[in-house]
Amino acid sequence: METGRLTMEEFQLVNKTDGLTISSKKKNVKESKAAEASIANCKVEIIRMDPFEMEIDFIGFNISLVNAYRRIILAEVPTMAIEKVYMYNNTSIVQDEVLAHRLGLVPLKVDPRYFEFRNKEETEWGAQDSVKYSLNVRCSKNPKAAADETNPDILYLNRKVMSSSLKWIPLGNQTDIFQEANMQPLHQDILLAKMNSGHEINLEAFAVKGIGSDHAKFQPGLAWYRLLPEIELTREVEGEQADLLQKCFSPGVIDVVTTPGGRRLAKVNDTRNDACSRNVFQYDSIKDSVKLTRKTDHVIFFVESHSALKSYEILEEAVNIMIGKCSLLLAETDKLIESSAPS
Amino acid sequence: MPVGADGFRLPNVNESQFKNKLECLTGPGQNEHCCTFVINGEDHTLGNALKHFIVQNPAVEFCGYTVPHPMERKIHIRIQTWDTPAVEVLHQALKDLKKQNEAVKKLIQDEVKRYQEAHPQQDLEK
Repeated sequence: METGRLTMEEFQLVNKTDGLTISSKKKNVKESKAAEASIANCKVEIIRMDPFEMEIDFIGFNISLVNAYRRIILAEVPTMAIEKVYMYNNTSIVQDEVLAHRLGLVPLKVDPRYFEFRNKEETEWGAQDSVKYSLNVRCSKNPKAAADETNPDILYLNRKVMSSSLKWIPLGNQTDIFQEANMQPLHQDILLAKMNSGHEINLEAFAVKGIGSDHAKFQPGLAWYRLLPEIELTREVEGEQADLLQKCFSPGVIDVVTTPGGRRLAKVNDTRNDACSRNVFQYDSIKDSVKLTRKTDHVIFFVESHSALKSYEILEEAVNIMIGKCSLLLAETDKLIESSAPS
Repeated sequence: MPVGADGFRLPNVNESQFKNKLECLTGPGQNEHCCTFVINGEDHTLGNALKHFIVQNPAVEFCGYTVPHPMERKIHIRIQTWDTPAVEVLHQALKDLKKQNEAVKKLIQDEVKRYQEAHPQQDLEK
């Protein structure tokens, strides 16, 4: 695949491959397996990774493929979230529907890969497709509080209802498969409601498996990408102008170095972190000294997890879903070819 | 997993439950070499990636995709070829796309393993 450059000029972006693609395609007509050839040139590289966040470089891939992964992570990678709430008693000032909505947004530690999607017509809560929680809290006066205490957090017991109060109730044989620590909310300190003395909340909640295109609470995390920026200095920039140039870019992108001769010159250090602001075009004195481009075949891909899945697991799931789509359609095309063959 | 056809959205009156995943439009301007395929339950995610793989095939004269209406979960893929049947081009592109995805999966798994070995203390439990 040809390495494309997107040039960032003062008032426009110019894609240098625009004119090339057609002519290069004509030239490569003999190379029928363009897709196969491109696999060999492809590379992925993890820049940093932990369970919550990762930054990974996709080098040599077609951007449509990378965008497909992004779209799948946002809309189609499944997770578990509370979907149905049975409210038995709620005398707090938070309305039933508001509380139920807040419960739905609580991320759970439950691994969705152990569960099935719940059937729409299903009336029972089965062990294979749902997780049960109960929340039973009551707020009362704290007998140990000092007489002149004014802080309501000390004055009352259970003033704040936190996500840690959600208790997992195993369904069917779930105790054999899961441990309680793995079924809790991901964060123990999510504030669900505030109560006053005498208030009470008593409810049961059921979590199911779902996907982000149904509701954002099912999204496993966030994903976004950017193209690798490149900066080329076309002439020497010296002294105060070098400082000015440095200020036009994100921190760490341009270095000002002192040469043995005592001259202070601008030097490109690390373009990766540049925000591509194009501030440099504000200054007529230096705007002719740089050429700003982005590499169209080098994608910096970010995944951020706020669910049970780790960041790299989310990405792997996205690729699996894409493979699943292809397999399903391949079978369908086979059917279509077969049905049209006799005629 | 079909997008949108799941969950708790009520099915549209115009949607039949038993529609085929892949269909071929009929009518004028449709023949073996010039064909518009309808893929139900898919969107830009697959459409754009598939289009890019189809146009890489030198047997293809033209390929484009469209989402006819944003509320209907389906895409139209138009393929015009020089002399190969359009359905074979589609089949080849799907095979290439699947192969590429499997390669990506392998690359990611290897890279994750390499990174975890290089940074053993970092993979903390959530």
